[in-house]
Amino acid sequence: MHDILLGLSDAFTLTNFIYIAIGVFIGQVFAAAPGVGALTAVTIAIPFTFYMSPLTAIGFLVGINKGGTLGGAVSSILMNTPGSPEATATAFDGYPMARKGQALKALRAAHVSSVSGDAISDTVLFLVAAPLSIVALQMGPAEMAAVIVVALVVVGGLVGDSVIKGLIAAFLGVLMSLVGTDPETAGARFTFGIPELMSGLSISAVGIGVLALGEIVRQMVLSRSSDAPPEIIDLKESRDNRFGFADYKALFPTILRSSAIGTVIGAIPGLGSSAAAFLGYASAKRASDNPEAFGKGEIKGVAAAEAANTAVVGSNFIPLLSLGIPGNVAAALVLGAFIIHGIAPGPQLFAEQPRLIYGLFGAMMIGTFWNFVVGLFSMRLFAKVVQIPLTYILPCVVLLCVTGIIVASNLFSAWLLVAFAVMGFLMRVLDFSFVTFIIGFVLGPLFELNVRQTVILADGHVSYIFDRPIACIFLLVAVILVWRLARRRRMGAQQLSM
Amino acid sequence: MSERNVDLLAGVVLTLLGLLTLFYGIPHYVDKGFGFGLSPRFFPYVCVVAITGLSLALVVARLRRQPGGESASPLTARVLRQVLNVVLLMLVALAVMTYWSYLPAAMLLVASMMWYMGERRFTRIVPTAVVWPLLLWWLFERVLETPLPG
Repeated sequence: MHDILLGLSDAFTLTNFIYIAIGVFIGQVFAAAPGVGALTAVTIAIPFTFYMSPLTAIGFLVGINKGGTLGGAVSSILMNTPGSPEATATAFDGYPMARKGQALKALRAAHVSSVSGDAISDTVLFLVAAPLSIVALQMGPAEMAAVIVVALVVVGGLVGDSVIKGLIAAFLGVLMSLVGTDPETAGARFTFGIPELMSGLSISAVGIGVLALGEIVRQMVLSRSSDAPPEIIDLKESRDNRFGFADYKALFPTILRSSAIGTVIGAIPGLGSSAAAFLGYASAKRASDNPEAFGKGEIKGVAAAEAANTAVVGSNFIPLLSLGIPGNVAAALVLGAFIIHGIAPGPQLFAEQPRLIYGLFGAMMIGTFWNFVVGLFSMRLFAKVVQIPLTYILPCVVLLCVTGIIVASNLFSAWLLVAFAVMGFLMRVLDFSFVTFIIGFVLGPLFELNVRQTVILADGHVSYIFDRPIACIFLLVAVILVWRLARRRRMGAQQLSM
Repeated sequence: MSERNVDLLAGVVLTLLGLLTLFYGIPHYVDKGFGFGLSPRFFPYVCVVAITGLSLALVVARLRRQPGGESASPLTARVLRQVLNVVLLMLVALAVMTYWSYLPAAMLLVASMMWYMGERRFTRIVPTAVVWPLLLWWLFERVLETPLPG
């Protein structure tokens, strides 16, 4: 209790309130703006957090992530163009509502559903993460290595169109994390005599390059041949366009159901917000007395998709805080930020730095609060933001990326950034999961450490692993998952070619 | 080119790169070790063997898949040329930044990219290419006192 109060008192400071509010606003703007997205915002923001205390930095990044889940809905509803992949399901009913003159009502429904889903998911995180970390503390290096293998297999298998390509991306990420000096012997690995590479590739260079610049290059190349901009709908006031407490009450069961789905999906590595949004939407449609109304402007469709995709944000932190394994790419970036600030997330964090963990929970509550408040006043602004042409946004974001990496590292990293941008672009068009690559890169050092420790403890005896039943179970799960996922994909491919 | 063929090509390239790293990259660019602990080459070998094996599996899987029925890959020669152009713009700006200074390079980057993306009105290009870099320069150099190149 003492740690909880101390942590919350660390979180509830004016500085944190201001930075988290800025983070939420940035997340909402980036997600609403065409061509970028909250993930790009989180990636670019990492270097800027060097100026902040660890708690403020993590709170700021979490704020961006939370804000981003709401901003993506704006262009979905007003333009039928999802600002982020997870907002695709929001467009199914959001855009028809807007066409019927209920754009503001749809945006408000998205807003309150998002915030509710977020709050529910955060509560589950607070209740579940600490007990799970106690279990995780019992695990040795063999078990941790096996858990990481399972995480990489799950993420690699579920994201993208091929298990093999997903696993290649994961191992490429791990390989990139090995650049620098060997942690045990300080021997050089792939440094090519370049002093700047001795400390390894920074998460900022790899993350900004692959995630942000890779996507921007794709947008730049593909936007040149894009069609005319879609029609944008105005937010005019009318009785039919208002969202009141009675509407919220009517939507509450839908929000609750979708939040539960999003929370469960978010806690499983690899299954992201998009899957949650579609599942939430489908369950709302199934539960409805009038399923025919879905797709034609049913407000429950908007609420279901938004509550589910936002609920993923909080529960993604369950595997991150209890095991040190990120649930998705946003959590991987936050893990990178933890490491930059000298904190190693994982089960030991609850024992060693409980104050920080409870401070983070406090920061998440502040983020949810600001997501609600900022969203109340910013919808009209976002309706303008979605109209800014890509020709202005993308060059400015590219400069922001380059400046950010120079500030965080050095000019050499900016050259590396270009190489990683090309890599990110190629991964996108060739459908090698960049999500898995980033998670592999972030988990690489932890994976290597645990495998090394296991090899040393085993002293060359393979039978050692058979004395560790939990590790064996995890490895067996990994093998079964690869087999099942590959089989499922193969059947899908056959159906596709028929 | 169909997605199957692009995957096949990617698999072949990755397999060759994997073999190159295995037999040339690691022996030449990763230290052998110093007689204590595990060799620094241990984990790179694990990763590269996995990547090469999986790439080979990708080649085999795509060879076994019947051609036809899938969509064309977005990776065309025209797209690659356009990517090269964008990368070239970034490299030129970085060269200007390295050998001259941040501000002119930043302005050049924003202006050239706007031009590349089809904006032809100087009344839009010039203010954006001047104000945004100046704002970032002022924020870092003056407010946060973080030196930028030049």
